[in-house]
Amino acid sequence: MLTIIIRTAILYVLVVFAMRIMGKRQVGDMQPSDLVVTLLISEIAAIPIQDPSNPLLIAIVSVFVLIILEIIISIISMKCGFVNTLTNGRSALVIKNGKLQQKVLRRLRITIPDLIELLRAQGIFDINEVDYAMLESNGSLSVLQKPYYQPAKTGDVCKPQEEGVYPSLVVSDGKVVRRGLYDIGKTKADVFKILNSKSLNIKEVFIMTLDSKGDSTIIKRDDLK
Amino acid sequence: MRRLWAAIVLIALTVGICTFHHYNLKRVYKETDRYLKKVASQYKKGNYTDASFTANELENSWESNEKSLDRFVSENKLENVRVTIAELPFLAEYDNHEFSIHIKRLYAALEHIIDKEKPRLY
Repeated sequence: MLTIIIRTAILYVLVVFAMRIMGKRQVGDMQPSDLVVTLLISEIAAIPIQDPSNPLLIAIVSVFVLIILEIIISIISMKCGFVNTLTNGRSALVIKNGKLQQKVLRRLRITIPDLIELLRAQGIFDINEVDYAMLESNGSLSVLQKPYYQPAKTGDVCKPQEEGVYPSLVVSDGKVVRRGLYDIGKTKADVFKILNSKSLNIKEVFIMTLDSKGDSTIIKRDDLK
Repeated sequence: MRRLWAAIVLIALTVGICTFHHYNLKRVYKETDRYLKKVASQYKKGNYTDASFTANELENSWESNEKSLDRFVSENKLENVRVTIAELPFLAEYDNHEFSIHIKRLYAALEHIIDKEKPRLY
């Protein structure tokens, strides 16, 4: 009995350490790879508690390996968009310009009741209120309502919003995000034109968002001087 | 960057633990094999008392080695070897046909442990 108590305490500390070291994103919104690692860690940690004849060190080494893999993959994902898409998937536009993207829904195997349920969770009970809806890779739905249904903000008094305009991520960490350009119907040339007008090199850009009207927001990299 | 350092430390720890286990297992196998060969040769020559004494030494050696092995190997597998070794001193005292069967069983149990610890892709 005492062995089980000691093992449980050791594994509790180890799993908490593992979750802390893997970063904050583990706790809130889980990406598919995070979910897999979390499930595996909990399963592996339970084995030596359930069966004391199994060595504790095997569970500890296995948890170490999972932490190492998770850290290495997250570092590679940050540098390489392909690996990021491979491990975490990518977000998909399910409602564009107020129109339901039926092909995308079929590809994602999401039924209309599922979508309506996700919208209700966002406080939207009428699908007609939605201008853009994006299903994120962690399974949550991000919604941009049509301007008429959006709550009024102080800025709206000075600059009323237009329909069908939503900012899309077009540059991430110095690299062009083709998917983002496709969503708003822009090309790489448009991005470079804006950057040239601001005398910026793409490598200097950390994040750039652009909407179909051509309005952009640019955040420069901190580490480049 | 801190996470990268943590990963490097964990890699070093994991490699260290695995390397230690690998060499420890090899060492224990060699030591046990040496004792078993000695017991078998003494038994073959008819020195039953010496064979029984060596078998007792093997039992003591296994007891101390088991403590380091059970951190990595399942207790059930080690118990199988321990029980077979514990019977050896009694069997070695007299001319007994079960003695050679026990030696073979011991080798099979040890090789099973070694095989299970070898890296495999399936």
